[in-house]
Amino acid sequence: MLGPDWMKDAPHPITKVLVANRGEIACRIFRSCAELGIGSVAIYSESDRGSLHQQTADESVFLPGDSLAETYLNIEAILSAARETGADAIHPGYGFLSERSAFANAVKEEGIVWIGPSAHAIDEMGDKISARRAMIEANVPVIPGEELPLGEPEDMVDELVRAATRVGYPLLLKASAGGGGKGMRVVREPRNLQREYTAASREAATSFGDGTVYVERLLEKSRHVEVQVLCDSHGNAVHLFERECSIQRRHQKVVEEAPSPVLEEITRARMGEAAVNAASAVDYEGAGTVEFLLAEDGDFHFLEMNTRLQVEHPITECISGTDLVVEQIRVAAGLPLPFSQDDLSIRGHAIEVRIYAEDPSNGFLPAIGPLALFIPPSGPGIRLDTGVREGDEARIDFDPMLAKLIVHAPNRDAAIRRMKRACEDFVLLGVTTNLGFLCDIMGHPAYHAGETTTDFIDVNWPDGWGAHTSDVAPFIAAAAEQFGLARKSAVIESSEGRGSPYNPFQTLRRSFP
Amino acid sequence: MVDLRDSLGRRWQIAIDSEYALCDEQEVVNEYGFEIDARPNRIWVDGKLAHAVKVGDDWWVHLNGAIHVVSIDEQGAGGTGEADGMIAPMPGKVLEILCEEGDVVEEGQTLIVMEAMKMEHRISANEAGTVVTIHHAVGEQVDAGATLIDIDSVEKFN
Repeated sequence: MLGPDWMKDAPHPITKVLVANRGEIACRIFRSCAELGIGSVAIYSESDRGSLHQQTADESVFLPGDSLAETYLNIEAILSAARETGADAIHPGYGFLSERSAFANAVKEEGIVWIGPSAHAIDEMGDKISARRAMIEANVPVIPGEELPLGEPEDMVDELVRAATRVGYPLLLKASAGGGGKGMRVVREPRNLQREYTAASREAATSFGDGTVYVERLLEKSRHVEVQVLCDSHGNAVHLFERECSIQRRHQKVVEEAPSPVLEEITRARMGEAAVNAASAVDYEGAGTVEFLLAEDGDFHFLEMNTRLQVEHPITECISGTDLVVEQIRVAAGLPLPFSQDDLSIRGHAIEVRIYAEDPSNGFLPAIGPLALFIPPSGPGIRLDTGVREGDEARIDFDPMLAKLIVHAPNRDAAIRRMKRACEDFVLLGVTTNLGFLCDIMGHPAYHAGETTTDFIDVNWPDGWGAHTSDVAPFIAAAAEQFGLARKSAVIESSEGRGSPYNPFQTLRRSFP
Repeated sequence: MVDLRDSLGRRWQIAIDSEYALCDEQEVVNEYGFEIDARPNRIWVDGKLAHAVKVGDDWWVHLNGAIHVVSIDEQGAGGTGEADGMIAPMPGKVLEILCEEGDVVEEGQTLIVMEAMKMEHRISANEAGTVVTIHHAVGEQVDAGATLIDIDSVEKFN
């Protein structure tokens, strides 16, 4: 099979991409494959049978087994799915195997193109200790902190207390191999240190198979700003400006925007340059993200580099006018970047919110239930990256993120208004989500003022968030119950063809009193 | 007549063709006009579009950019359980049990660590008392709403 024309002169032509992932990111990658004219392959587990990602790809391969280790983390099964379908490239998405150098190597040994950075770059940046060392060498500022040797929690007490005292409170315990808020614990007082260490170490061991923990000073009132970089195999490297991802709960991002509402042009240039240097230091190839903590005084500290596509990459695509997945595929095929730094500029403002199946009025606990009604907003500058649709179910098996809603507008004010409207228009019923909470963030004066520090939620909702109540909703429910709106099946399966048990020409108009 | 309970726990008794409804036994005016068209899940309320869908006993309502859940209250008064039990807030797995039957525990003391969606959640005692029964063992999968531990509250002894 021949690839599209633009692939003709590529050193490593790609004709069919297998995505070793699921959910919205798999769907998003399949869309770019379709637009590029290359084939796509999905893998899916039993609980994803009939899911959107399985059905969006050109082909799909079933991976048997109940656990992640047997399915989305099963390197052998994924490679054999690629062999079986003739896929000549693998895209790992984010999470799962995306930052496992062993997977990158196994893919390459199989003679398949790996759409991602080299195993060396993954290892160097994936280990927080070596990344830190590399950054210090590259003159990028880092946060005070140190690693704890691995050991039984009981034997660790002295070591732990000494390290914590050197670093200072409040501090953060992080899994060395971690990310995404898992295995991460805040310790404000020495008396909680041991308990939190035990939990962090165990979460790290379960989630990443490595219980090593890192102690770091917690910088409060700081902003989480990250820079998107893109490097090809010909030595070209550019940055596509920053994203600000400060609004978080449980150390997981909730709202992201690009560009940052506070970054000054000079800091932006310095940060972009630092990010490109960081990537170049490990001979990075493809799309990557360098994360910084931006202090109140304008100083920034290197946090980590994510050697993969980020969840929040769409906002960068909006403001830079690029398709990062297309660029990843081009770079993996050995083609040079089609633009230089001077070609890139920021156009407008973009915001992304993550729609989680969770209850923001009850400690953000995950929620489950059917997506009984799922009517997304639409209109200019609105994008929905979703892995689910109406009729699907939010289940406990995977991350509670259902979809990402992205808006793009000429400026920040317009983007905020657009996002608020989009969240309000989203009819997502049947499972509790954070949509109402997102609306309130978009309507909050502190958000409008750009006061988006990482403690935004705690500061603005110190007693937690409560859903709005309505005195009309009970009447609507009563009317719906009384008019038989629940009998949806009667409508769909009506024998008189498309129509309903109610005659549409004789609308039931009842006004009371 | 439809018996409902809203998210604040208020009990509503509403008959759509009546001028008045009851909210927690208080009379309120029913001043809304409804219109239903041929499509399921859509309802006009005084000229505004609302969406409604029923899942189990719950009506999910989207109106004016906000989502509300109102439950059909078959039992009428019902009332929330005054059980002395601690309930799993979400489905998940019991990771660790930090107490034994017969232990005297304080309010707020962590008794169980659960895991759901790869995150740990601490379940704390909702009152001071004596642990009477532990309903689940480490490693067991529990449903949302499952009683995890029964506590005999201190007040009972005093």
